[in-house]
Amino acid sequence: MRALAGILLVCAACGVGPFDDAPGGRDNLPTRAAGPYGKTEIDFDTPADEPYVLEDISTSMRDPAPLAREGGGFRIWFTREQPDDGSAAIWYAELPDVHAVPDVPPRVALEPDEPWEGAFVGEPSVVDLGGGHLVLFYRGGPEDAPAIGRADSSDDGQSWQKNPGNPILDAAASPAGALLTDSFALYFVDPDAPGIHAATSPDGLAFERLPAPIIEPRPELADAFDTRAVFDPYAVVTPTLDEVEPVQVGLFFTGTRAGADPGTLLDAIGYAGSYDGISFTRFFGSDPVLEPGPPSDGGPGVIPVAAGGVLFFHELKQTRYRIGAALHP
Amino acid sequence: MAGSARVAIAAALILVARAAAGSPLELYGLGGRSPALAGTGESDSAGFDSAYLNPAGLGEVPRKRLSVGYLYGDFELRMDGEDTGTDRPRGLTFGAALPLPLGGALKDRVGLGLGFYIPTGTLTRVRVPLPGDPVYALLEARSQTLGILLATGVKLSDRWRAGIGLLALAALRGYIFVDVDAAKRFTTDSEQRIVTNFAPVAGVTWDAPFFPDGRFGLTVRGASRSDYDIAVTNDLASELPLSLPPLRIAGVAQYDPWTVDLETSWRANRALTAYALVSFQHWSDFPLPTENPLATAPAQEEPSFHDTFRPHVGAEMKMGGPLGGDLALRAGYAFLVSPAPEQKTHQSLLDNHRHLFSAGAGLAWPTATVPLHLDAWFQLHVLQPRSHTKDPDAFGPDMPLPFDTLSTRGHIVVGGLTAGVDL
Amino acid sequence: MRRALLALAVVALPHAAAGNPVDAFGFGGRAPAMAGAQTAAAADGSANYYNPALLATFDDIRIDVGYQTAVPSLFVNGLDLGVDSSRGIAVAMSAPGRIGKIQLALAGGLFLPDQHVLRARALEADKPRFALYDNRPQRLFLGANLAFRIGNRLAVGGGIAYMAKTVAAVDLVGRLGFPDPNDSDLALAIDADVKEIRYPQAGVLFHATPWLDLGLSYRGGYKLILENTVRVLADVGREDDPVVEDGRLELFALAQDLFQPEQWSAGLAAQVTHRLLIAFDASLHRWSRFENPATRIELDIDAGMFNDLIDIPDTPPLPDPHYHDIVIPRLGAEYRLFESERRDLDLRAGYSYEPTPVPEQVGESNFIDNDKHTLSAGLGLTLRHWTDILPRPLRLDVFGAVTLLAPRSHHKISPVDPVGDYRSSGRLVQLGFSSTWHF
Repeated sequence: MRALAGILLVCAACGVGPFDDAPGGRDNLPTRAAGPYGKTEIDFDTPADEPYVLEDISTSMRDPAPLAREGGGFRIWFTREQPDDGSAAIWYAELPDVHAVPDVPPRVALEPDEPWEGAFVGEPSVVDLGGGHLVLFYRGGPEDAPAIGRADSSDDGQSWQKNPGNPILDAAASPAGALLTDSFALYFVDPDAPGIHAATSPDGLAFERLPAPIIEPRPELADAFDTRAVFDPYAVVTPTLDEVEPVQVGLFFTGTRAGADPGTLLDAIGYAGSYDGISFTRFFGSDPVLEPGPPSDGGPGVIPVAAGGVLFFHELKQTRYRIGAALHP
Repeated sequence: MAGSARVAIAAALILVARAAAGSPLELYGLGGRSPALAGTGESDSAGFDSAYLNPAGLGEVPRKRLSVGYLYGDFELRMDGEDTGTDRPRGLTFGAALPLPLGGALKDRVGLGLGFYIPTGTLTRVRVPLPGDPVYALLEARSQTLGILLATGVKLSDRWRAGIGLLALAALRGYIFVDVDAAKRFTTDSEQRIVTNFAPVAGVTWDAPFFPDGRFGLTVRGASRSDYDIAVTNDLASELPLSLPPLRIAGVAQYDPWTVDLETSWRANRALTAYALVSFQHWSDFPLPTENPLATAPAQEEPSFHDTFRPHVGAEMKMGGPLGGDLALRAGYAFLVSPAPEQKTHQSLLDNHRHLFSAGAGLAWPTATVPLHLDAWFQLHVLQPRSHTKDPDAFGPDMPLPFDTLSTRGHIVVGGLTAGVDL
Repeated sequence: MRRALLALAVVALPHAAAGNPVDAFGFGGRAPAMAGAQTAAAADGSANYYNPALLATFDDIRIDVGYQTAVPSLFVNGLDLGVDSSRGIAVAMSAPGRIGKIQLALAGGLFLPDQHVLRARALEADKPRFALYDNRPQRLFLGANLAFRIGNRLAVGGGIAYMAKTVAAVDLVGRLGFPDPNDSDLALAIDADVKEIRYPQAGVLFHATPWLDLGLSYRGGYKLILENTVRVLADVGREDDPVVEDGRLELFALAQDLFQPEQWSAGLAAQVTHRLLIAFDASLHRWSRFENPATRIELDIDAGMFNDLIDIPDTPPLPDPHYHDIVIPRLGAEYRLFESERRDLDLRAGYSYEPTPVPEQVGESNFIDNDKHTLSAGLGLTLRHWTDILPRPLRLDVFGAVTLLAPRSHHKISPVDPVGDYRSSGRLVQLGFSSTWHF
């Protein structure tokens, strides 16, 4: 009888949910971090002014180029530009997370001091070669005569040495460097040729330019976010699990289309992927991977994180840019 | 036969979705004997039906018996003369009762009973109309539920027997989230879980020394309830020009109130036994069939059902039967008081007093090579005509009345056949 | 007064996992210790699952009660997905009987998870999940059987297990607030049927020799299908000035979950010596019939002035998952360490290999599964004459098992696949105990 009572008591405990757990199986789902992304939401309990992480009342901050920081957080190089005269330098800051203010305040990383650069050094792209060796690709010179230069750091970005052979690529701007299996790829825009172009190099110095753009605007697709123009590329290289296609290159870029009001334009951020770094496939159809706006968003810089991604972008408010963050998923 | 046997032996399992209220167990009874006695016969039941009628009877299970039954009926429920078209109840009943061959002090004292009702075709039906629409709240879809019972009984002494059982009901919890994925498809992320709510059944029987030819029985059944609660949310604002509010689909699919049955049986002579039973049913806790889907909506009016006392009487006459078997003739009557008040305001949860007339017969060959037991029964429920008149003052100037005056009447006809074999 | 309504997209439905917890982890306290090689060797209520014919060989009433748990640690790219454990009570009962000269037994077995009776889950079509562990063990198993002995050498048994499918419709009527949706006024009506689905199970046992039993069993396949319809009929806008009258949305969703493949098992049990029993099973699982479980949605909207702003994309067809049939070998052994008039002690061990039915996930779908190696062990203690109330034996069994998922990589063909390449691995640890009471 006691056994039966015990049976019934145990039965009674079953299925009633006293041991109810939250459903599992959803943690850490793999993702390529291609998107879609959502801007961080305003939270009055955090010190940051979500979704913005870097802003200044008197200058423009744009073109974020992030790297993950060892131990957590982000390292961001960006263009700091004077809106009145268009002069610019590359600055650097560090964030513990996207809901905090910088714990390493913004400081100068690279300034224009060579004739070809004029008064402008900006649009950085940083490639980590490991062992404290960082490579910085950047634009120097005015908008109508840009060129791309290279600087190296052997102390993990504390100081930079410009390459004596600069500029390494003429008639090019908005560089995005990528370290493929055994070569470099450099994605950029040409002020005289619409689209995003590519060049390859075995050493990251002598680049051979591909004849045709790898990403072009899509005027034929009426609903596309990039009917008018594409620019501001940013490359994320991740290893695959395949010997034949050992890396995947994700290219984030800015696209432009006509805005709702006549005569206006609207920017948004899109994505394309490739296994060889040359032939790219669009992602998400005609839609961008970050909310299409207004306001305009561009200048993507992305860091894949465990089971997700962090996208830094710039946004124009009145006459100055500021840098914000968006998350996936 | 091996492939067709459907014996529910599982322990306290449930899956009960009972329609709007009550269950076929509460409506018709269980087994082949008690339904013929208008729901009486609880105090001396000793088969699988004891799991519901009074588990104390399992303390005197004579032999292992496997039973199979079938039920068929017809509802004719009318509103203003129009038939509501309620589905016909059809279902299979399975049961097993077995004495546990324990030793020592428990020798020949303990039994187990299992009962199983499976509606054919539809296991469970939930019909909940819009709030305010008239519906037979305690009869609509009532027979379309799956019921499973497990009980045990023990003979405490020559005069006392006690038993306990479990009836388990399913409750549904979950969420549904609708979104558009990266490939621009509408997608869902949803989860629905069935958890179980248990309702106990307990009973005692007593052969009082001052009543040597009779027996008292007391059965208490806990309230049984099958509810559902699903949260529906979405993130479609980016794709649709309209934003949709969060919704909650929640309500009670099935509800049986807690009941207390007190019965006395009297063996007038070797052939005739009479039964009288009073059933108290706590209907005042009858819940709303559905909750408001929006958190911002005003609360619905409560059903305001009231508790009821229902009298039942029955009689069984035993005699010799054909082929050397035993024949039992049975009949009964019950007045099933309705717990629902006149529906004057927003709710329209209809119910009528019912007169239950029952009859049946049983044939058994307990000592044959194949010990067979057959029981047939028939019930006629006559709904006492009733009318409901809405009070216009209870409705706002722009609120339409679901009806002005509504008359309700009808009847339910149901019968069944149960066959049992001793193993 | 009812008003037409606007679209509400709601869908639901569970998405396919597979089988049931007993398929994944075994039943009872003895069978999992022997890696589930029980088609000819089950000696307790687990025969309800492994081979109902064995029930006819029992000569007394048996009630089994136990508890078992399986704790997964399943990783993708080295990160734990947090897949739920499966745990619950296992109960079985069998009772012998006789009708005339025919010896028979009726029995039933139940595994009841202690978190819920059943969980159905639907995920987006491309969302990664461990296909055979994500939701597969999250339901009850209920089997009921009848078995017959035919002569001294042959026994047959079978039964039908019930599950259900749901057809449901939800109606929402009233007014949808615009621009503020919280200003809505909606009423709810529900019409739902849960219809029965039956799947059979059957088995045969043959005493080939006094020391060798051969068994064959069959379990029918099953899938839980749910059809949900949501209709929203409403005006849109403010109560006194709707911008859309008689708007309508109808959404139909169809999905399936908890797929169980059809299974054929053949096994032998050889009492090699007085103390040593060797059991071997080979099971065919028909996974090739598995269909993509993702929800299929049909949506129809009439939103008046907003119709031009609504662009419902065409739903592309769901890719075929291309699962294939598998054969699972199982080897178990039971050795009597100690025996006496009042106590016996058995040591058990087993190994099984379950290849994955799931192909490499190179396309859109992400059904993750790996080849599995299971090592198990257990002990069984039989007590006799330990109390006057229970004159018949009581057996207590405990077991532990480890399932190792062989690491596996998935490389995506598309460079813009949103999930990307990943590597899956993991392990499951199972523990359990049971008691078998003889009456």
